[in-house]
Amino acid sequence: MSSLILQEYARAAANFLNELPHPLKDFILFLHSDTFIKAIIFPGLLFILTFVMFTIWFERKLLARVMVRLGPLHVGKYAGLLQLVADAVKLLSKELIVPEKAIKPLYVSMPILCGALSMLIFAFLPLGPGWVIYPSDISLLLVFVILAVTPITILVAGWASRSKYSFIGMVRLAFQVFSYEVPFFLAIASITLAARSFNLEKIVEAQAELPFIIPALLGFIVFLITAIAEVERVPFDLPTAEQELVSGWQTEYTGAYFALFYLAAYIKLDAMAILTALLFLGGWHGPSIPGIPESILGPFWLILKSLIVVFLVLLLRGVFPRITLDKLLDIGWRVLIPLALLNILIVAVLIQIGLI
Amino acid sequence: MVSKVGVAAMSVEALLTFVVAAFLVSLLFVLLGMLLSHKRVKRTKVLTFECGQKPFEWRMLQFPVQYFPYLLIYVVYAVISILVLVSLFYVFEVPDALMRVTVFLAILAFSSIFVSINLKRLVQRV
Repeated sequence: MSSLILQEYARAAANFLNELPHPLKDFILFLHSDTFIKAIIFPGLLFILTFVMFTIWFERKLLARVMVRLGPLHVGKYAGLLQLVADAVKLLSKELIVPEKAIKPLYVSMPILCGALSMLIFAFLPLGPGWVIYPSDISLLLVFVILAVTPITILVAGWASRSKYSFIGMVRLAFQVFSYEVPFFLAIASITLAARSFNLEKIVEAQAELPFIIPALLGFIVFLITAIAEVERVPFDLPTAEQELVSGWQTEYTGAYFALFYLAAYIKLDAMAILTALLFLGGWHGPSIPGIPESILGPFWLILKSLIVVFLVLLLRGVFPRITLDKLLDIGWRVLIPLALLNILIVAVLIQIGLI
Repeated sequence: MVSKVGVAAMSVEALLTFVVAAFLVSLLFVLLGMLLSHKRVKRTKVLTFECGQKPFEWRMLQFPVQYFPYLLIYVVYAVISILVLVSLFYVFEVPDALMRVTVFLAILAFSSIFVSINLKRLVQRV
Protein backbone atom coordinates (compact mmCIF):
# COMPACT_ATOMS: atom_id res chain seq x y z
CA MET A 1 0.00 0.00 0.00
CA SER A 2 2.66 2.46 1.05
CA SER A 3 4.87 1.58 -1.95
CA LEU A 4 1.97 2.49 -4.23
CA ILE A 5 1.74 5.91 -2.60
CA LEU A 6 5.50 6.35 -2.97
CA GLN A 7 5.30 5.50 -6.67
CA GLU A 8 2.53 8.05 -7.03
CA TYR A 9 4.71 10.68 -5.37
CA ALA A 10 7.69 9.79 -7.58
CA ARG A 11 5.57 10.14 -10.72
CA ALA A 12 4.21 13.48 -9.54
CA ALA A 13 7.73 14.69 -8.75
CA ALA A 14 9.00 13.62 -12.19
CA ASN A 15 6.10 15.45 -13.87
CA PHE A 16 6.81 18.56 -11.80
CA LEU A 17 10.49 18.42 -12.74
CA ASN A 18 9.71 18.09 -16.45
CA GLU A 19 7.48 21.14 -16.41
CA LEU A 20 10.17 23.38 -14.88
CA PRO A 21 12.20 25.73 -17.12
CA HIS A 22 15.53 24.33 -18.32
CA PRO A 23 18.23 25.98 -16.13
CA LEU A 24 16.20 25.35 -12.96
CA LYS A 25 15.72 21.69 -13.87
CA ASP A 26 19.45 21.28 -14.50
CA PHE A 27 20.20 22.92 -11.15
CA ILE A 28 17.87 20.55 -9.29
CA LEU A 29 19.39 17.56 -11.08
CA PHE A 30 22.87 18.84 -10.10
CA LEU A 31 21.75 19.13 -6.46
CA HIS A 32 21.03 15.42 -6.27
CA SER A 33 24.04 14.31 -8.34
CA ASP A 34 27.01 12.41 -6.90
CA THR A 35 29.32 15.37 -7.57
CA PHE A 36 27.33 17.81 -5.45
CA ILE A 37 26.81 15.39 -2.55
CA LYS A 38 30.51 14.52 -2.40
CA ALA A 39 31.82 18.07 -2.79
CA ILE A 40 29.35 19.94 -0.59
CA ILE A 41 27.75 17.50 1.84
CA PHE A 42 29.53 14.43 3.08
CA PRO A 43 33.27 14.33 2.66
CA GLY A 44 33.04 17.95 1.58
CA LEU A 45 32.22 21.35 2.93
CA LEU A 46 29.31 20.87 5.37
CA PHE A 47 30.94 17.85 7.00
CA ILE A 48 34.21 19.75 7.49
CA LEU A 49 32.46 22.78 9.01
CA THR A 50 30.32 20.71 11.41
CA PHE A 51 33.32 18.58 12.43
CA VAL A 52 35.35 21.72 13.13
CA MET A 53 32.49 23.33 15.08
CA PHE A 54 32.17 20.18 17.17
CA THR A 55 35.94 20.08 17.76
CA ILE A 56 36.09 23.68 19.00
CA TRP A 57 33.07 23.19 21.26
CA PHE A 58 34.53 19.92 22.55
CA GLU A 59 37.88 21.57 23.26
CA ARG A 60 36.32 24.34 25.32
CA LYS A 61 34.16 21.89 27.25
CA LEU A 62 37.06 19.48 27.83
CA LEU A 63 39.51 22.16 28.98
CA ALA A 64 36.85 23.52 31.29
CA ARG A 65 36.39 20.08 32.84
CA VAL A 66 40.18 19.71 33.22
CA MET A 67 40.23 23.00 35.14
CA VAL A 68 37.07 22.09 37.15
CA ARG A 69 34.97 24.73 35.40
CA LEU A 70 31.66 24.33 33.57
CA GLY A 71 32.61 25.71 30.16
CA PRO A 72 30.06 27.05 27.64
CA LEU A 73 26.63 26.62 29.16
CA HIS A 74 23.95 29.14 28.31
CA VAL A 75 23.81 29.58 24.53
CA GLY A 76 21.86 26.81 22.86
CA LYS A 77 19.59 24.10 24.17
CA TYR A 78 22.19 21.63 25.39
CA ALA A 79 25.50 22.52 27.08
CA GLY A 80 26.26 25.67 25.09
CA LEU A 81 26.34 23.94 21.70
CA LEU A 82 25.51 27.19 19.90
CA GLN A 83 28.23 29.18 21.70
CA LEU A 84 30.38 28.83 18.60
CA VAL A 85 27.77 30.40 16.33
CA ALA A 86 27.50 33.30 18.75
CA ASP A 87 31.28 33.67 18.79
CA ALA A 88 31.44 33.60 15.00
CA VAL A 89 28.85 36.35 14.72
CA LYS A 90 30.74 38.37 17.33
CA LEU A 91 34.03 37.94 15.45
CA LEU A 92 32.42 38.91 12.14
CA SER A 93 31.02 42.12 13.64
CA LYS A 94 34.46 43.24 14.84
CA GLU A 95 36.36 45.87 12.91
CA LEU A 96 38.59 44.75 10.03
CA ILE A 97 41.78 46.63 10.85
CA VAL A 98 44.64 46.77 8.36
CA PRO A 99 47.68 48.28 10.09
CA GLU A 100 49.14 51.28 8.29
CA LYS A 101 52.57 49.67 7.95
CA ALA A 102 51.24 46.36 6.63
CA ILE A 103 51.68 45.26 3.02
CA LYS A 104 47.99 45.44 2.21
CA PRO A 105 47.41 43.03 -0.72
CA LEU A 106 49.34 40.20 0.97
CA TYR A 107 47.86 40.96 4.40
CA VAL A 108 44.30 40.79 3.09
CA SER A 109 44.62 37.80 0.76
CA MET A 110 46.55 35.38 2.99
CA PRO A 111 43.68 34.48 5.41
CA ILE A 112 41.44 33.55 2.46
CA LEU A 113 44.19 31.46 0.88
CA CYS A 114 45.02 29.76 4.20
CA GLY A 115 41.39 28.81 4.90
CA ALA A 116 40.75 27.50 1.40
CA LEU A 117 44.03 25.56 1.19
CA SER A 118 43.54 23.85 4.53
CA MET A 119 40.03 22.80 3.45
CA LEU A 120 41.61 21.34 0.30
CA ILE A 121 43.33 18.61 2.37
CA PHE A 122 39.95 16.92 2.77
CA ALA A 123 39.59 16.50 -1.02
CA PHE A 124 42.04 13.60 -0.93
CA LEU A 125 41.19 11.99 2.43
CA PRO A 126 38.89 8.98 1.97
CA LEU A 127 36.32 8.76 4.78
CA GLY A 128 35.07 5.31 3.83
CA PRO A 129 35.20 2.86 0.93
CA GLY A 130 34.37 5.11 -2.04
CA TRP A 131 33.68 8.17 0.12
CA VAL A 132 36.36 10.42 -1.34
CA ILE A 133 36.08 13.59 -3.42
CA TYR A 134 39.07 12.92 -5.67
CA PRO A 135 40.35 9.31 -5.74
CA SER A 136 44.01 9.29 -6.72
CA ASP A 137 46.91 6.83 -6.72
CA ILE A 138 49.17 9.31 -4.92
CA SER A 139 46.63 10.74 -2.49
CA LEU A 140 49.03 10.48 0.49
CA LEU A 141 51.64 12.55 -1.37
CA LEU A 142 48.98 15.11 -2.36
CA VAL A 143 47.88 15.46 1.28
CA PHE A 144 51.52 15.88 2.30
CA VAL A 145 52.09 18.53 -0.36
CA ILE A 146 49.10 20.61 0.77
CA LEU A 147 50.14 20.23 4.42
CA ALA A 148 53.58 21.52 3.41
CA VAL A 149 52.17 24.48 1.46
CA THR A 150 49.74 25.89 4.07
CA PRO A 151 52.48 27.15 6.48
CA ILE A 152 53.84 29.32 3.64
CA THR A 153 50.64 31.37 3.62
CA ILE A 154 51.07 31.86 7.37
CA LEU A 155 54.70 32.91 6.88
CA VAL A 156 53.66 35.49 4.30
CA ALA A 157 50.89 36.72 6.62
CA GLY A 158 53.38 37.16 9.48
CA TRP A 159 55.78 38.98 7.18
CA ALA A 160 53.09 41.22 5.70
CA SER A 161 51.82 42.43 9.10
CA ARG A 162 55.13 44.24 9.75
CA SER A 163 54.96 43.92 13.49
CA LYS A 164 57.65 42.74 15.90
CA TYR A 165 55.51 40.04 17.45
CA SER A 166 54.37 38.77 14.06
CA PHE A 167 57.96 38.62 12.85
CA ILE A 168 59.19 36.63 15.86
CA GLY A 169 56.23 34.25 15.61
CA MET A 170 56.83 33.82 11.88
CA VAL A 171 60.51 32.90 12.36
CA ARG A 172 59.57 30.40 15.06
CA LEU A 173 56.94 28.87 12.79
CA ALA A 174 59.47 28.55 9.98
CA PHE A 175 61.93 26.73 12.23
CA GLN A 176 59.27 24.49 13.74
CA VAL A 177 57.29 23.47 10.68
CA PHE A 178 60.11 23.03 8.22
CA SER A 179 62.26 21.07 10.64
CA TYR A 180 59.46 18.75 11.76
CA GLU A 181 58.44 17.98 8.18
CA VAL A 182 61.44 15.62 7.86
CA PRO A 183 60.49 13.15 10.66
CA PHE A 184 56.83 13.53 9.60
CA PHE A 185 57.70 12.45 6.09
CA LEU A 186 59.91 9.57 7.31
CA ALA A 187 57.07 8.28 9.52
CA ILE A 188 54.73 8.34 6.50
CA ALA A 189 57.37 6.58 4.38
CA SER A 190 57.37 3.53 6.67
CA ILE A 191 53.62 3.15 6.14
CA THR A 192 53.96 3.33 2.36
CA LEU A 193 56.65 0.65 2.57
CA ALA A 194 54.35 -1.59 4.62
CA ALA A 195 51.37 -1.08 2.28
CA ARG A 196 53.42 -0.82 -0.97
CA SER A 197 51.25 2.08 -2.11
CA PHE A 198 50.71 5.83 -1.85
CA ASN A 199 46.96 5.42 -2.27
CA LEU A 200 45.21 6.01 1.05
CA GLU A 201 42.37 3.60 0.21
CA LYS A 202 44.87 0.82 -0.54
CA ILE A 203 46.77 1.65 2.66
CA VAL A 204 43.55 1.14 4.65
CA GLU A 205 42.74 -2.06 2.77
CA ALA A 206 46.19 -3.39 3.69
CA GLN A 207 45.25 -2.97 7.39
CA ALA A 208 42.25 -5.31 7.24
CA GLU A 209 43.89 -7.88 9.53
CA LEU A 210 46.43 -5.84 11.49
CA PRO A 211 46.42 -2.06 11.96
CA PHE A 212 49.85 -0.58 11.25
CA ILE A 213 50.18 0.78 14.79
CA ILE A 214 51.45 -2.64 15.88
CA PRO A 215 54.36 -3.17 13.45
CA ALA A 216 55.11 0.59 13.25
CA LEU A 217 54.63 1.68 16.86
CA LEU A 218 57.73 3.91 16.81
CA GLY A 219 56.42 5.49 13.62
CA PHE A 220 53.08 6.17 15.29
CA ILE A 221 54.77 7.97 18.18
CA VAL A 222 56.91 10.06 15.81
CA PHE A 223 53.94 10.79 13.56
CA LEU A 224 51.71 11.94 16.43
CA ILE A 225 54.37 14.24 17.93
CA THR A 226 55.25 15.80 14.57
CA ALA A 227 51.58 16.14 13.62
CA ILE A 228 50.93 18.06 16.84
CA ALA A 229 53.90 20.29 16.00
CA GLU A 230 52.64 20.85 12.45
CA VAL A 231 49.24 22.06 13.66
CA GLU A 232 50.81 24.16 16.47
CA ARG A 233 49.01 22.48 19.35
CA VAL A 234 50.12 23.03 22.89
CA PRO A 235 53.46 21.53 23.75
CA PHE A 236 54.60 23.02 20.42
CA ASP A 237 52.59 26.25 20.18
CA LEU A 238 55.68 28.46 20.05
CA PRO A 239 54.59 30.50 16.98
CA THR A 240 51.39 31.70 18.68
CA ALA A 241 52.65 31.74 22.26
CA GLU A 242 50.07 33.86 24.01
CA GLN A 243 52.05 34.71 27.12
CA GLU A 244 55.26 35.85 25.41
CA LEU A 245 54.27 37.01 21.93
CA VAL A 246 50.68 38.30 22.41
CA SER A 247 49.58 35.77 19.78
CA GLY A 248 52.58 35.45 17.50
CA TRP A 249 51.93 35.77 13.79
CA GLN A 250 48.20 36.40 14.43
CA THR A 251 48.80 39.53 16.49
CA GLU A 252 47.64 42.11 13.93
CA TYR A 253 44.69 40.14 12.58
CA THR A 254 41.17 41.01 13.73
CA GLY A 255 37.58 40.11 12.95
CA ALA A 256 36.86 37.92 9.96
CA TYR A 257 40.55 37.51 9.04
CA PHE A 258 41.28 36.12 12.49
CA ALA A 259 38.21 33.88 12.28
CA LEU A 260 39.54 32.39 9.04
CA PHE A 261 42.96 31.63 10.56
CA TYR A 262 41.27 30.12 13.62
CA LEU A 263 39.07 27.95 11.41
CA ALA A 264 42.05 26.89 9.29
CA ALA A 265 44.01 25.76 12.37
CA TYR A 266 41.16 23.51 13.52
CA ILE A 267 40.55 22.17 9.99
CA LYS A 268 44.20 21.14 9.88
CA LEU A 269 43.89 19.52 13.32
CA ASP A 270 40.91 17.45 12.17
CA ALA A 271 42.65 16.49 8.94
CA MET A 272 45.65 15.32 10.96
CA ALA A 273 43.40 13.26 13.25
CA ILE A 274 41.70 11.59 10.28
CA LEU A 275 45.09 10.97 8.65
CA THR A 276 46.34 9.32 11.85
CA ALA A 277 43.28 7.06 11.93
CA LEU A 278 43.75 6.18 8.25
CA LEU A 279 47.47 5.46 8.44
CA PHE A 280 47.86 3.76 11.79
CA LEU A 281 44.56 2.84 13.44
CA GLY A 282 43.06 0.72 10.67
CA GLY A 283 40.92 3.36 8.97
CA TRP A 284 37.32 2.29 8.46
CA HIS A 285 37.83 -1.32 9.56
CA GLY A 286 35.92 -2.22 12.70
CA PRO A 287 33.50 -4.78 14.11
CA SER A 288 30.36 -4.96 11.99
CA ILE A 289 27.00 -4.20 13.57
CA PRO A 290 24.06 -6.23 12.14
CA GLY A 291 21.43 -4.16 10.38
CA ILE A 292 23.70 -1.24 9.48
CA PRO A 293 25.09 -1.21 5.91
CA GLU A 294 28.84 -1.16 5.28
CA SER A 295 28.78 2.24 3.57
CA ILE A 296 27.56 3.94 6.77
CA LEU A 297 29.53 1.81 9.22
CA GLY A 298 32.91 2.61 7.57
CA PRO A 299 32.74 6.41 8.02
CA PHE A 300 31.32 5.85 11.54
CA TRP A 301 34.33 3.82 12.73
CA LEU A 302 36.77 6.21 11.02
CA ILE A 303 35.22 9.29 12.63
CA LEU A 304 35.10 7.55 16.01
CA LYS A 305 38.82 6.71 15.79
CA SER A 306 39.73 10.22 14.68
CA LEU A 307 37.67 11.68 17.55
CA ILE A 308 39.74 9.61 19.98
CA VAL A 309 42.91 11.12 18.45
CA VAL A 310 41.37 14.61 18.65
CA PHE A 311 40.55 13.99 22.33
CA LEU A 312 44.17 13.03 23.07
CA VAL A 313 45.56 16.07 21.24
CA LEU A 314 43.14 18.47 22.95
CA LEU A 315 43.85 16.98 26.37
CA LEU A 316 47.54 17.90 25.97
CA ARG A 317 46.59 21.58 26.15
CA GLY A 318 45.30 21.17 29.67
CA VAL A 319 48.27 19.13 30.82
CA PHE A 320 51.59 20.22 29.29
CA PRO A 321 53.59 23.47 29.43
CA ARG A 322 55.22 24.94 26.33
CA ILE A 323 58.79 23.92 25.43
CA THR A 324 61.52 26.25 24.19
CA LEU A 325 62.76 26.57 20.62
CA ASP A 326 66.22 25.06 21.14
CA LYS A 327 64.70 22.07 22.94
CA LEU A 328 62.19 21.64 20.11
CA LEU A 329 64.92 21.65 17.47
CA ASP A 330 67.08 19.34 19.58
CA ILE A 331 64.32 16.77 20.07
CA GLY A 332 63.55 16.92 16.36
CA TRP A 333 66.90 15.73 15.07
CA ARG A 334 68.27 13.97 18.15
CA VAL A 335 65.25 11.78 18.92
CA LEU A 336 62.55 11.89 16.25
CA ILE A 337 64.61 11.44 13.06
CA PRO A 338 66.67 8.46 14.38
CA LEU A 339 63.44 6.89 15.72
CA ALA A 340 61.72 7.35 12.35
CA LEU A 341 64.66 5.82 10.44
CA LEU A 342 64.79 2.93 12.93
CA ASN A 343 61.05 2.45 12.39
CA ILE A 344 61.48 2.14 8.61
CA LEU A 345 64.26 -0.37 9.21
CA ILE A 346 62.01 -2.41 11.54
CA VAL A 347 59.21 -2.41 8.96
CA ALA A 348 61.61 -3.48 6.21
CA VAL A 349 62.96 -6.33 8.36
CA LEU A 350 59.40 -7.43 9.23
CA ILE A 351 58.57 -7.57 5.52
CA GLN A 352 61.74 -9.61 4.90
CA ILE A 353 60.72 -12.12 7.57
CA GLY A 354 57.23 -12.21 6.10
CA LEU A 355 55.24 -10.95 9.09
CA ILE A 356 53.45 -8.13 7.22
CA MET B 1 29.01 0.15 -14.17
CA VAL B 2 30.36 3.52 -15.22
CA SER B 3 33.53 3.36 -17.28
CA LYS B 4 36.87 4.35 -15.74
CA VAL B 5 37.08 7.53 -17.85
CA GLY B 6 33.58 8.48 -16.67
CA VAL B 7 34.58 8.02 -13.02
CA ALA B 8 37.72 10.13 -13.56
CA ALA B 9 35.71 12.92 -15.21
CA MET B 10 33.13 12.85 -12.40
CA SER B 11 35.81 13.03 -9.69
CA VAL B 12 37.53 15.94 -11.45
CA GLU B 13 34.15 17.69 -11.52
CA ALA B 14 33.72 17.00 -7.79
CA LEU B 15 37.23 18.29 -7.06
CA LEU B 16 36.59 21.49 -9.02
CA THR B 17 33.25 22.03 -7.24
CA PHE B 18 34.95 21.50 -3.90
CA VAL B 19 37.82 23.91 -4.65
CA VAL B 20 35.40 26.61 -5.83
CA ALA B 21 33.19 26.05 -2.77
CA ALA B 22 36.17 26.24 -0.39
CA PHE B 23 37.36 29.54 -1.86
CA LEU B 24 33.80 30.90 -1.91
CA VAL B 25 33.24 30.08 1.78
CA SER B 26 36.51 31.79 2.72
CA LEU B 27 35.57 34.83 0.63
CA LEU B 28 32.10 34.82 2.15
CA PHE B 29 33.62 35.09 5.63
CA VAL B 30 35.55 38.22 4.68
CA LEU B 31 32.58 39.74 2.82
CA LEU B 32 30.29 39.13 5.81
CA GLY B 33 32.92 40.69 8.03
CA MET B 34 33.01 43.75 5.78
CA LEU B 35 29.22 44.01 5.86
CA LEU B 36 28.70 43.43 9.59
CA SER B 37 31.70 45.24 11.06
CA HIS B 38 31.38 48.82 12.19
CA LYS B 39 33.77 51.27 10.63
CA ARG B 40 35.29 53.96 12.78
CA VAL B 41 38.59 55.22 11.45
CA LYS B 42 40.99 56.29 14.17
CA ARG B 43 44.71 56.71 13.71
CA THR B 44 45.55 54.93 16.97
CA LYS B 45 43.72 51.84 15.80
CA VAL B 46 45.78 51.28 12.66
CA LEU B 47 49.12 51.55 14.45
CA THR B 48 51.03 48.28 14.89
CA PHE B 49 50.42 46.51 18.18
CA GLU B 50 52.89 47.39 20.92
CA CYS B 51 51.27 46.42 24.26
CA GLY B 52 49.33 49.68 24.56
CA GLN B 53 52.43 51.85 24.09
CA LYS B 54 53.19 54.11 21.17
CA PRO B 55 55.17 51.93 18.74
CA PHE B 56 58.92 52.40 18.32
CA GLU B 57 60.41 52.75 14.88
CA TRP B 58 60.12 49.57 12.85
CA ARG B 59 63.48 48.05 12.37
CA MET B 60 64.40 44.72 10.93
CA LEU B 61 64.63 42.19 13.72
CA GLN B 62 67.62 39.92 13.69
CA PHE B 63 67.29 36.43 12.36
CA PRO B 64 68.15 34.06 15.25
CA VAL B 65 71.66 33.13 14.08
CA GLN B 66 72.37 30.94 17.09
CA TYR B 67 70.14 28.22 15.60
CA PHE B 68 72.01 28.12 12.28
CA PRO B 69 73.61 24.65 12.90
CA TYR B 70 70.13 23.17 13.22
CA LEU B 71 69.23 24.55 9.81
CA LEU B 72 72.25 22.80 8.26
CA ILE B 73 71.32 19.51 9.95
CA TYR B 74 67.72 19.67 8.77
CA VAL B 75 68.76 20.47 5.20
CA VAL B 76 71.00 17.37 5.22
CA TYR B 77 68.19 15.22 6.62
CA ALA B 78 65.73 16.57 4.05
CA VAL B 79 68.01 15.29 1.27
CA ILE B 80 68.32 11.94 3.06
CA SER B 81 64.53 11.64 3.37
CA ILE B 82 64.26 12.11 -0.41
CA LEU B 83 66.84 9.32 -0.82
CA VAL B 84 64.63 7.11 1.38
CA LEU B 85 61.61 7.95 -0.77
CA VAL B 86 63.48 7.08 -3.98
CA SER B 87 64.62 3.76 -2.49
CA LEU B 88 60.99 3.02 -1.54
CA PHE B 89 59.93 3.59 -5.15
CA TYR B 90 62.70 1.17 -6.14
CA VAL B 91 61.21 -1.43 -3.79
CA PHE B 92 57.73 -0.91 -5.28
CA GLU B 93 59.12 -1.52 -8.78
CA VAL B 94 61.59 -4.32 -7.96
CA PRO B 95 60.45 -6.28 -4.87
CA ASP B 96 63.68 -8.34 -4.87
CA ALA B 97 65.66 -5.19 -4.00
CA LEU B 98 64.28 -5.12 -0.45
CA MET B 99 67.44 -6.73 1.00
CA ARG B 100 69.73 -4.01 -0.39
CA VAL B 101 67.35 -1.25 0.73
CA THR B 102 67.24 -2.77 4.21
CA VAL B 103 71.04 -2.59 4.43
CA PHE B 104 70.89 1.06 3.27
CA LEU B 105 68.24 1.85 5.90
CA ALA B 106 70.27 0.10 8.61
CA ILE B 107 73.33 2.20 7.78
CA LEU B 108 71.20 5.38 7.83
CA ALA B 109 69.45 4.55 11.12
CA PHE B 110 72.55 3.56 13.05
CA SER B 111 74.69 6.42 11.73
CA SER B 112 71.97 8.92 12.69
CA ILE B 113 71.79 7.41 16.19
CA PHE B 114 75.61 7.59 16.45
CA VAL B 115 75.65 11.23 15.36
CA SER B 116 72.84 12.23 17.69
CA ILE B 117 74.60 10.66 20.68
CA ASN B 118 78.00 12.19 19.90
CA LEU B 119 77.22 15.71 18.64
CA LYS B 120 76.46 17.97 21.59
CA ARG B 121 75.87 21.64 22.37
CA LEU B 122 74.71 22.88 18.98
CA VAL B 123 73.34 26.26 20.09
CA GLN B 124 75.95 28.91 19.33
CA ARG B 125 76.55 31.82 21.67
CA VAL B 126 76.45 35.04 19.65
